[in-house]
Amino acid sequence: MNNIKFFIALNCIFLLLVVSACSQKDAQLIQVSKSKNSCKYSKWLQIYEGEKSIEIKIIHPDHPERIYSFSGIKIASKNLSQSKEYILIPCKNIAALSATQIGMLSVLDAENTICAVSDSKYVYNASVKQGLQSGAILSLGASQEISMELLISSGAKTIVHSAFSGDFPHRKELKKMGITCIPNFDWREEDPLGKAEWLLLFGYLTGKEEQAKKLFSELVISYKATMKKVKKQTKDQLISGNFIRDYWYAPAGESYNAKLFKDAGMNYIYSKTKGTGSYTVSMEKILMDTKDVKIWINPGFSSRAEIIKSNAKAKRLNCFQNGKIYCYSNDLNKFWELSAVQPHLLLADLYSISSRPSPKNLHFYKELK
Amino acid sequence: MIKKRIPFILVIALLLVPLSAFIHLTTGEIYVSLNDFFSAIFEFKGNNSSHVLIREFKIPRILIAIVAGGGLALSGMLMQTLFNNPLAGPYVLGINSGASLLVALSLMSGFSFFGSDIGIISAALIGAFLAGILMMAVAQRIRSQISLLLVGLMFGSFTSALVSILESLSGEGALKAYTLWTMGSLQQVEFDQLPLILFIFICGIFLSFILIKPLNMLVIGERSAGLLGLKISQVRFLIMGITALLAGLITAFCGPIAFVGLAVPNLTRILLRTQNHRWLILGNLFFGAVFLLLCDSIIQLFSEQIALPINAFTSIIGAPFVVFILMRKLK
Amino acid sequence: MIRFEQIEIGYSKPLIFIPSLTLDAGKVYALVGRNGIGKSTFLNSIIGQIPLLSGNLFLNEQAVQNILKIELPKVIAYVESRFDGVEYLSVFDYLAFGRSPYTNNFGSLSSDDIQVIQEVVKDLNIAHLLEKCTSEISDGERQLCAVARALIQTTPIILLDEPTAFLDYLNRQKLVQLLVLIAEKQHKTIILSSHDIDICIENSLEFLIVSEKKILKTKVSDKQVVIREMEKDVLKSS
Repeated sequence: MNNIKFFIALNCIFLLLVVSACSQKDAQLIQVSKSKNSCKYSKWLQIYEGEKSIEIKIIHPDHPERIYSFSGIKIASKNLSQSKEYILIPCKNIAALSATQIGMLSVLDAENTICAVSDSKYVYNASVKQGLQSGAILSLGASQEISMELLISSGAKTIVHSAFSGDFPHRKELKKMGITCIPNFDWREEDPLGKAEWLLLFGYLTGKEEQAKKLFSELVISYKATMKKVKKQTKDQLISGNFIRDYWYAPAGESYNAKLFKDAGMNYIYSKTKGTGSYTVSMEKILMDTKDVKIWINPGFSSRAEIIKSNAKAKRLNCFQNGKIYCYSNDLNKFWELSAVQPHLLLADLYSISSRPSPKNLHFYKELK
Repeated sequence: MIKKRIPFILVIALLLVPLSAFIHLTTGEIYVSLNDFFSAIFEFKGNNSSHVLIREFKIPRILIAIVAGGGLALSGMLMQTLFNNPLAGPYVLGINSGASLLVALSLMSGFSFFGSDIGIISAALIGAFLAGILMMAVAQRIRSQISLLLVGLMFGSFTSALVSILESLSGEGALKAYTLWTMGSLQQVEFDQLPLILFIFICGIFLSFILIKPLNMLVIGERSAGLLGLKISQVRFLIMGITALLAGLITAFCGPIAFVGLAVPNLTRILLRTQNHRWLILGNLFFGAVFLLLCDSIIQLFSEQIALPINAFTSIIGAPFVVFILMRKLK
Repeated sequence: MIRFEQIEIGYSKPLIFIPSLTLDAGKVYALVGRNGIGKSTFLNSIIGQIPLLSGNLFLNEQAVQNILKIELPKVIAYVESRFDGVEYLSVFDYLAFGRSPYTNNFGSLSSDDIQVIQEVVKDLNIAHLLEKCTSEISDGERQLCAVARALIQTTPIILLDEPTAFLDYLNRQKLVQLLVLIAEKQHKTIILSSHDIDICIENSLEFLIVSEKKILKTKVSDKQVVIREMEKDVLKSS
């Protein structure tokens, strides 16, 4: 009898702990949403303008309980709480470790705040390229293998990184040195406007938030205007993606690219599939599914010959033989840098492609011959 | 004395080949009927996607599965007889390693000539050929069977090490492309390449049949066979040459495919209960083809849920079987 | 018959000198000597696995260097000391290998070949083993099959390397008696190396004693003769 009572008591305590842990999480989220969030489209970025500080909260897409909080302050004071992470705004020395970050800083004319970049051979922006040549901006090599010493020697005070593999290495040590690491999850945004909204983060970091807000609202208007132009969905079927060895990988129905296609009024054949990543298709299925497809977008190469070189079976597809192929290979570096922050131009390109047989003046795309 | 049992089993095995091919044809994601199949062959229309599916996708895949399965099993049999070792496979001579090294070089170094898909096939063929020549030259100078086997294995280790170095020096894209190649694929063969592949395959089979007597004699050991009049170095040369030809051809067009060459010859011997290569050659061809066709059919069946590479699957089935053989041998 | 003239046998340095030796047809010779003295080297030199350092060897009055490589197995057969059998290799198929020097490129047995096999099988009384696997029969039966295979090769000369080493007493007697019978009946020259001196004496074999780098061919009725000869090597080394 005593044993049973003990057992029940233990279970009750266990249940209480679980419930309280859960409700704590909800409490956190509720508290955060009471203040006004400047970001309307982004899923992972939240910015709150306070009286004395700017509160930046970044939610980890795979672990929503992990929230990275930063307090942007204008003046360093001595009574700062140890539990918060503070950033002195405006930032003067930013290590921009991904192309989209360079792009966003460049539209704010804030390239001079960049002190270091990675993968320098993919840089598009002219003044950053000049900075790399003159030595004002340090090149850090490939983003997967950044040397800590080099990074610190660049004088960066703020590191913005793409967080593919979780936290930035040595994050805690860098914090002790006064260097803040901010994870950038723009690549996990499924809404093109949500992705572009990360511009606001850079706006606040560089003290150019008004400019950023203005630019952002302009591009939202432009984006929505293009959406209005779409009278009805085009009949022409669209396929996206390409073969990797034996399988075709296409963007799944809830992904970033799928949303772009939908907003541009395109009839994407896999728009109804679930998921935000890739949709895998066998060779035989893609052959049959694309037999009436007229437009092929984003094969990942810049010419038809290159497509066949990588997989000879591609030439059997009807979309290759009789369709039009478009890719963002007009200028690859420009695409990777600027497309995130210029979704309205991307959408305009896609709308032109779907509504005209020979679209001209495309910003990012070009037809593959 | 003709045992009725062996021809009976072989006839069944022979019939299983078209049966497995039929299963493969009809269990794809896209439904294909026998009617479609015949009209695709005899009344092919380029704009009929069903015809294109059958001619450019299904037929090459099925035929290469038969060639690869039968060819690897046959090469495995040749190696197991040459080395009197049931654990030898078509890759012990380092043929596969030679092909892998050259493919790695072509993908990960800067040669643009080699970067294309045709380039990979040529690179693999050249690599296999060079490895074969090297091993055949070595075989002339080494008397002992075990030493020869060890040289082959060491050559394999050496080239693997070189490939590792290349991998650490190369970029992400090239590394990924190479890794994908090592997973093996039965779907990268073009219909137009089939005549050449089939021709070389049939040459390999024909040459194997010519070697029936030497192969049979090798069963009692190289020394005893030599004392009965077998010209050892000549026979070694021919057997290694045929293996290099078949294994090299298959690796060039499909990448490395594991375990077929190791498991099927053992399975054939156990099922036919004979050491007479007149039957073993046929048995290996049929069982090898059926094995690979059925493995690929299963992969096809689950391709919607999971993208399994052929190598992974043959290893899953083959490795336990090899353990089984080992245990039998140790008893 | 085998004739040796001014022969030196060895690898780089001579192990055995044979100025002159003739082995007659119709006889079985017992090759004895201490371990490592060169018995196997001697046998291997006759079959051509180890080249002669010097001298002339005549097999059935044909000089060894004039015999084509493919003809050699028709002149001389070799029986290993141990045959472990091979899984799934039937005794019949194993015996058929004895005809390999005579068959065509596919190894097909002609009616003559089959007749030879059947006769040997009858003589050795092994018909009941034919369908069995060589790996499933006893050591004694296997050794008998190995001898049968050598007989099927129909060579005038047969060499056996310690054929009795793994046999029990009765089987040893049977084997040596059989060899004596065959040598007489078929007029063959047979050499067997052995450590079992008693059985060789019992069957009246002529001895080839290897000692002091020479070969002494002698009839033996008393074991002591052999032992004394073999001890000469011990004295030398001590």
